[in-house]
Amino acid sequence: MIGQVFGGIVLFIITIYLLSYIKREGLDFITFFFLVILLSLWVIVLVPEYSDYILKKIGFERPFDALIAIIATSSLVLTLKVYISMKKIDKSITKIVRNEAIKEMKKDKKDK
Amino acid sequence: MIPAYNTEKTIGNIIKRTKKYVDRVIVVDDGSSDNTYQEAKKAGVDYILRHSINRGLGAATKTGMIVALKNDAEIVITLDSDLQHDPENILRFIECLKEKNIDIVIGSRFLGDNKKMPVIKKIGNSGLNFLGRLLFGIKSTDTQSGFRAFNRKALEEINFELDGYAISTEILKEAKEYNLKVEEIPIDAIYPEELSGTTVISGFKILIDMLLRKVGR
Repeated sequence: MIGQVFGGIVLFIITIYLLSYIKREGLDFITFFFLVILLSLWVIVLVPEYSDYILKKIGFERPFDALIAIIATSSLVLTLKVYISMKKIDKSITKIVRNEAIKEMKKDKKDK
Repeated sequence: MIPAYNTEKTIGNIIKRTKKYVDRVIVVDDGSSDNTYQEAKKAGVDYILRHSINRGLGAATKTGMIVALKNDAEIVITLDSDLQHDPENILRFIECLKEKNIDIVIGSRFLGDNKKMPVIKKIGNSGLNFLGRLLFGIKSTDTQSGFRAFNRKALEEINFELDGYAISTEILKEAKEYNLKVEEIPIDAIYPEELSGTTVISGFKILIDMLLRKVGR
C-alpha cells in the first residue's frame, strides 16, 4: 500500500512534467514512447492484483516478470528500429529544408 | 553564427552585441513560430537563413557552417541566441585559436563561474560529459557548450551528421578522429529568464543519438 502511494506520487509528478512538455514541444516519437511506458507503469501501480490475476489465468508461471521482460525487449527493439528509419527520413527532409533556406537567402541578397 | 529557435526577445540584442567583435553575423532561424526572423533582420544581421520547419540545433548549425564556408570564413564562432553567452568573450576565443594554433576552442561553463547553473543541468551535463568520455574517449569538461570557435581547417574536416543537440558531442568525436587540436577556455554560466535551452527529455534524446552514433548509424 505504501509502495503504491509513493509510486503514485512519483508517477503523478512525472506525468505532469511529461504532459506540460508535450503541450510545449509537441508529441514526437520518443516522447510518445515515454508516454506509453508511463501509462504501463500507472496500470502496474494502480491495479497490481488485477493484472497479476489475469496473467496467471492465461497460464504464466511467473506472469508479471516474464511479460514485462518480453514487452520491454520487443518494444525497445521496435522503437530503435522505427527511430533509425525515421532518422533516415529526417535527414532527407533536413537536406531539402536546408537547400530551400540557402536558395531563399541568395534570392534575398540578389533583391537587395 | 547563431542558430536560433523562438528567441524573438533576445535575438536582436545578441546580434547587435556580437557585431562589435566579428566581421559578419550569420543567423539560422530554425523554423521559429514567433518573430525571430523579422527581429534578426531588424537588428542588421549580415546573413539570415530560415528553415521552413524546425530541424534541430545540429541541422541549423550545419546550415550556418555551409554558408560560412561558402563565404570564405577563416574563423567561425557559434553562440546561443538566448543570451546564455556573452559576446565579449569572442576576442578571447579568437586569441586562443590564433596564438596557440588551436583548431577548436570550447567555452567551458565548468571551468568558469557556474554557480548560477541549476543543479539538474549540472547533473545532466556531467552525465553527458561522462558518456562522451565512455563512448568516444572525449576528454572535455563541457561537451554540451554551444559557445565555440572553429578555424577553417576544422570546418572542412568535420562531418556534421546529427540534427539534434547531440551535435555538440559529435563535433568533439570528429575532432578526436581527425586529430584536431581542441582547447577549453572558461566562460561563465549565464541563465537568463528567456532561456530556451535543453530539458531533461532533450538530455535523453542526446543520449539515444550518442548511442546510435556509437553503433555506427
